[in-house]
Amino acid sequence: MKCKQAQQRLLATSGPRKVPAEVQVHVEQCARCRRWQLRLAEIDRMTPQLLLPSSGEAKAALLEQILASEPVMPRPARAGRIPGTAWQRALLGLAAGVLLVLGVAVYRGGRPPEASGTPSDPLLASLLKHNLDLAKDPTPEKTMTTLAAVARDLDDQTRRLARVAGSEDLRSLAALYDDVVRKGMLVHADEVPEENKQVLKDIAEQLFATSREAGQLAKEVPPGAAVPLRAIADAARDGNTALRQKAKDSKLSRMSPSGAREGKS
Amino acid sequence: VKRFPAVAVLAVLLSAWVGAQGPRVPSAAEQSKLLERNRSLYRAAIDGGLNLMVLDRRENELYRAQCYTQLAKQWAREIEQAASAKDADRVTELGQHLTQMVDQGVVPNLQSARKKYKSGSEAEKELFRQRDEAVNVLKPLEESLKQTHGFEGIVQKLTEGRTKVEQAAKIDK
Repeated sequence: MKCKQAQQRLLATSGPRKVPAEVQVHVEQCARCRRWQLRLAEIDRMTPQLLLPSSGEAKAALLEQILASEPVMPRPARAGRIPGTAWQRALLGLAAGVLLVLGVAVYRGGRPPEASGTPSDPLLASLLKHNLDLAKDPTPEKTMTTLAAVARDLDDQTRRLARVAGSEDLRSLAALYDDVVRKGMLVHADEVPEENKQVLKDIAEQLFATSREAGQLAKEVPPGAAVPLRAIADAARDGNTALRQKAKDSKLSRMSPSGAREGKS
Repeated sequence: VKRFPAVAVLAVLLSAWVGAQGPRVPSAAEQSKLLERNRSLYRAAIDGGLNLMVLDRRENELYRAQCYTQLAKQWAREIEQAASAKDADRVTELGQHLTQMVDQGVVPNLQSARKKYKSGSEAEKELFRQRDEAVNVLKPLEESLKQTHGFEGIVQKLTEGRTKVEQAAKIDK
């Protein structure tokens, strides 16, 4: 017989009933079950000493009190159970998890990297894209078109920020615009083949519009922004004139070999 | 308790939806701050573009690879600074730019040069020098970013880019 079996039989026969012989044989040989039997005997002995209501009325009153109280739902006992609702415990668990992750991050690399909340810079992404475009398709027409797109981005940004950005920052944009027109477009315009000179005219149109709009805006904004806007208007005006001239020269040179020289003089 | 999975699913769907909205367009005030911060990078991108078009050198693949390596160097410096300041957004933004420069600027030009230059030639030595210069921009940055938890994604991309640079100078078998 096993201990578990013997102890169950002891429980079933507690009190005045007689322990079966086979259980008694096991108990005599097993110290653990003997201790179990002794404790059961002690419970049997102490039970009659419990205070009980002395009369029928008292018993009825006690029963009424028990029945009136809220029913107790049996719950599995858990050591160290956190009080609160399931949601509160879930939130507490989540907070503990976040703290743990932060703790590990701090331990591994000091202060963890933070999302600054600053959005990406669309102008920077655009300038880089144009830069990469210049290497991908280096035909003169494409180069000119890409440079015109860069100039447009810079002009747009300068006008958009004319009332909010610092004058030094605006001047830096105007300087970039000037470089794109003078060191980029005007240097490479001559490489565009005759049959594609229309590209130059289209870009000249764009520059003409820029010179007009930037010049107009320069009259409406504070002096700090007016200077860079005027610089952009000047570069655009010069670019417009020069590109129209180059397109015209090529037309003249197509008509007569001496025409280009006349146009340039 | 049954509501918890439903709320969790809703939160995941909302996050996915927000994530699918694409990059946020900055306000004028934010763009003004970005202008102040990125002025030197604008200048680098434009000067780099103008350098690419230098008449007598623009057909040279190694020169173009060099132009992009120089640009990558400036981006790497900015990324280092952003990483020191624990500015994860900036590290990610500039890291993506750097990956673009490597993938679309350095690698194709090195590959093109590899096809053109014979093994053992002086030009090949120049190709290797150019490759090493690009690797020397990317590797220290990778090592530096590895020290900080949270930049694993961008380190992975930089490692992939560096591997492509190394492969680009190898002879196809």
